[in-house]
Amino acid sequence: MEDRIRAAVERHGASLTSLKPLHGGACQENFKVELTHDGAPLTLALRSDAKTSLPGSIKRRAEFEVIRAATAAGVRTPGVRWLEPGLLRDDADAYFLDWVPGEAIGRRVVRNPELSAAREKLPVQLAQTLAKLHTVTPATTTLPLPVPSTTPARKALDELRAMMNGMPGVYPAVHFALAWLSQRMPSETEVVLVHGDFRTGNFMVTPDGLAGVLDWEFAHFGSPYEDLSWISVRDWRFNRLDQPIGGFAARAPFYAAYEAASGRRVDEATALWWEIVGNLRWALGSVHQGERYLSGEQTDLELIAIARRNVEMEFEALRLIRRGRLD
Amino acid sequence: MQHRPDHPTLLDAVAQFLLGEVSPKLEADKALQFRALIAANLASVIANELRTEATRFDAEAARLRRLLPAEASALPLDSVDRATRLHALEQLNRALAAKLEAETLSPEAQAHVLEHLFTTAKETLEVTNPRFDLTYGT
Repeated sequence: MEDRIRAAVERHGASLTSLKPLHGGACQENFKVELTHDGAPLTLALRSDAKTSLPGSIKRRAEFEVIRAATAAGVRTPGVRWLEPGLLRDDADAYFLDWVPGEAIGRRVVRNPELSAAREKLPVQLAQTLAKLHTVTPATTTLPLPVPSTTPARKALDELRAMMNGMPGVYPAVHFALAWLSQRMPSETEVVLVHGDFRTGNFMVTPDGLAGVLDWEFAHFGSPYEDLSWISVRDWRFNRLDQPIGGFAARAPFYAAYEAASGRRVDEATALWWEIVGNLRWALGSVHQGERYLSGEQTDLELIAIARRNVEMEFEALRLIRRGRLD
Repeated sequence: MQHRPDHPTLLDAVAQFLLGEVSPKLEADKALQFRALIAANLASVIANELRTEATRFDAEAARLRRLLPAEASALPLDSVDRATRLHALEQLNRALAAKLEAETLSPEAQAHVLEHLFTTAKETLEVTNPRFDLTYGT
């Protein structure tokens, strides 16, 4: 495998100095790659298709195109360099991208003292980033992503229901929440390019603020509210519940900055609807992680431990329904 | 069959061993240390679940009996056999799920089901995650 990577970078006029595997995920294998390029040292990341994937995730080839479109729209994200079909394995596409230093671990982003000034800047920086990303629409690009044949809200409920019905267990709280949501469909139907996993843990932060948005494998055409609300899902507040934007900010400055930069109005009832959807998505996602263990696809203890955490997200969805408004 | 020490006590001993003796030796491999802590946590969660199973079963079953009296009376919720009892509760939850799919409940019925589900989630979390904040924003 290292020989194949070495040969690839040499085709681009670079030589490989070191290759270090990084913690990847279900959908991709990641590496830190040290090179010499034009006589100077150069650090890149390498992202390859993994042998498995998660529902709703895209492959590296599409991800490469998505990042190019996001960058062209002005989104701060590590720039992509070279797309390499069949790099690690014949059926696994990969690409090299710029290495951006900083902190992405969620609990550190919300707590580390040296990032306190960054946390002041993040709400506005992230809101402006989303506003730029959400200028990309099916009409303005030719991305290899499906355009939903129904409204994003309807599609989200259909996907959750399909996922729930595919589970061997029974989850009455999810049935209840889906019924509640389907009685209150939002009227908003706009379709834009969304990141799909926009939350603390998936952006790189330095003391200066946002250094780059990471992890585009759930990008798709959907509602702007999907990105606006996912960042507030309880688990992504990393135990800073009183900071509903990602565990580091209040809602008002984030929504106001998004409204100013995008020209859209953030409707709180619609944001609530999508935040409940987000909690259900993660509830079923955690059950799915356990099913991956039970099927023998993975043997990671973490997966089977996550499987029992669905109750936390179900509780949160029910809490929001009982409350009937955002906190 | 041997019953002493009982299952929760044994699981707590496993958790204590992983936490107190194994984990400190794994400072050099943080990823492995993290998984040892996950294993310890799982063992103590299961111990707590076993200790509180009967109380939680009775509370959930009592509420479901009020919500679905006809369905509940047809199921062996009072069986002396643990597996039969747990299976009956699952069947009753399947009946609740089917009802939620089949009909639009009146606002009053909806409120009752919501309180039942919220209480059940709370009772579970008290046991599975003592650090989970059950009062925030309620």
